[in-house]
Amino acid sequence: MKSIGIEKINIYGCSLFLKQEELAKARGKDPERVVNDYLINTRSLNPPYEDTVTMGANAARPIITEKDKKDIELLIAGTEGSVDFGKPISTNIHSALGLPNNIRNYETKHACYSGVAALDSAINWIAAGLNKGKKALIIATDFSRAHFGKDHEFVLGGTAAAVLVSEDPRIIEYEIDKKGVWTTDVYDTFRPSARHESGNNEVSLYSYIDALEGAYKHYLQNAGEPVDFDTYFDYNIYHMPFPGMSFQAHRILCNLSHPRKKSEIRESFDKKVLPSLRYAMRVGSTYGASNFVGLCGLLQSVDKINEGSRIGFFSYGSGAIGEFYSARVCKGAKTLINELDIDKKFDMRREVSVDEYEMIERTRESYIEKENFKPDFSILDSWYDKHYKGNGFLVLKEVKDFYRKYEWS
Amino acid sequence: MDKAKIIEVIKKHILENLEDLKEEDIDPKKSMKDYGANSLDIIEVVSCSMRELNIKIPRSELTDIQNIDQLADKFLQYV
Repeated sequence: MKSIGIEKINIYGCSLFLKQEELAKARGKDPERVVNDYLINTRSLNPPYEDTVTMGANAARPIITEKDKKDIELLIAGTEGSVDFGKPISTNIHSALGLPNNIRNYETKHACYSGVAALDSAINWIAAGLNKGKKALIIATDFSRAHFGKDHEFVLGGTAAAVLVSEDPRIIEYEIDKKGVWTTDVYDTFRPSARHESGNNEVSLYSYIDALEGAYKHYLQNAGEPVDFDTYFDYNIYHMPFPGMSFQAHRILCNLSHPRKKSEIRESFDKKVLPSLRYAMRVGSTYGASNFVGLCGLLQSVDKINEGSRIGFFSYGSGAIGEFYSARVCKGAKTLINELDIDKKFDMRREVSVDEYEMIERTRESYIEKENFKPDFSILDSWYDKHYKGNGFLVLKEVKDFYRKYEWS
Repeated sequence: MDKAKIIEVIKKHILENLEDLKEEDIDPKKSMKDYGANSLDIIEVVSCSMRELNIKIPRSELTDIQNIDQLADKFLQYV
C-alpha cells in the first residue's frame, strides 16, 4: 500500500491572546475553577484586519516553498467561518500564496470536522493514484464569534493549520485503511446566520460522546486485527472544543475497553493525551484545526517520540459527524516540529485586556455584511506597526463593493 | 428490571466517578451537580450506567433531565 501522510505542517495561533482568568474575574466567576474545568489558560484572538483567509495563509506561508508550489495540485480549505456564501476562501488563499492555476480548489464545511473532511479527500485522491505524484495543501481555519457574558464565552478561540499531504510523509503516515465514521442529524452548535453561533453545550457534549463511541466501534470493525485500546495506541489526540474535553473522551474509550477508576484514567491521560494539549491550552477552542493543533503539541511536548508510534485521532463536527482514524509517527518528525519554533511564535502574541477584547469583537461585528469598510490598523497601540509590518503576514486591507482586498504586511 | 435496581447502578457509578462520596449521602431527588459533578462527570456516569444496564439512548434525549430520579425514569423506558 502507498505511503501517504503529512510532509509538512504548521499552525497559526493568531497575534493576540486573552487570559482566561482575567475573563473569569470580569464575569464574576472563580478563575481557578474556570481554568481547571476547561483547561484553557489563554484564548487566541486576532485584530479585525484578520479573518479566516489571512489566518489560513499565515499558517501556510512559512512552510510552503517555491518548489512545493509547483507540486501542489489540490487545495482544500476547511472552515465554518467563510467570508462569502459562494466564493470559497480557498480561492483567496490560492492567490495570496501565489499558487499556479492547474490546481483543484474548494472549501469544506462541517463545523469542526471541516479540516479532517478536507484531509480525508486529499488522502483518498493520493490513494487512488489520481494525484500522479502531486501534493495536496490542506487548510483548516476558524475563529469564534462574540458571546459576551454567556457560559460558552469561556470556550472560545481561533487558530489555523496548514498541512502538506503527499506520498513523502515526514511527520505522520496515515493508516489509510483504518477509519471509523459515525453520522447523525442534531442541532448542537451551528451558525444559522453570519452573526450567530447558536447551540446547547450539553447537547453538544452528549453528541460528541455518541459520535466518539460510534466512530471508535466502527474503527474496530475496520481495523482488520484485534485492537486493545491500552496497548494499540501510543498516543491519543481528541477533538478539542476545549482542551478539557479530551480527558472525558479518553475516559470514555478507556472504560469502553475495560471499566476502571478515574485515577487510573488520569494516569493514562497524562501519558498519552496531555502532551497534545500544549497549544490548545493557549488557543482555546481549536475548531477545524483541532487534530493538527494536537499533533503539533504532541510532537513538541514528548521529549523522545519513537518512529512508528501509533496515534489514534478523533475528529468531531457538530451537526454531526465523528471520525476515528490513526497514523504512525515518521522518523525525524520531532526535529521538523522543533524547527517551526511554534512556542516562540505563540510567545510573540500580545495580551489584550477584557476591555480591548470587547472592543475588538464589537469592531469585528460592525464589519459583518458591510459593503465598504477599511479596517482600522491603528488599534491596540498600533499593534500592526509593531508585529505585522514587514514581517510577511497576510491582512485584510479593504472591502470595497464587497470585494475583499488582501495584502502581505 | 425495576427502578430501584437502576438507581443502584447509577449510584455505583456516581461513587466511582466522584471520589470522597458515600452511598448513603446520595439523594435521588438531587442533581449530580449538587455533589460537585461537572458536566463531564455527569456524562461519564450516564455512559457507564447505560453500558452496565445494556441500554442505548441517544444522549441528546438526556439534556433536560434535572435529577437522578428522572434519569432513572428515562432509563426505565429503555430497559
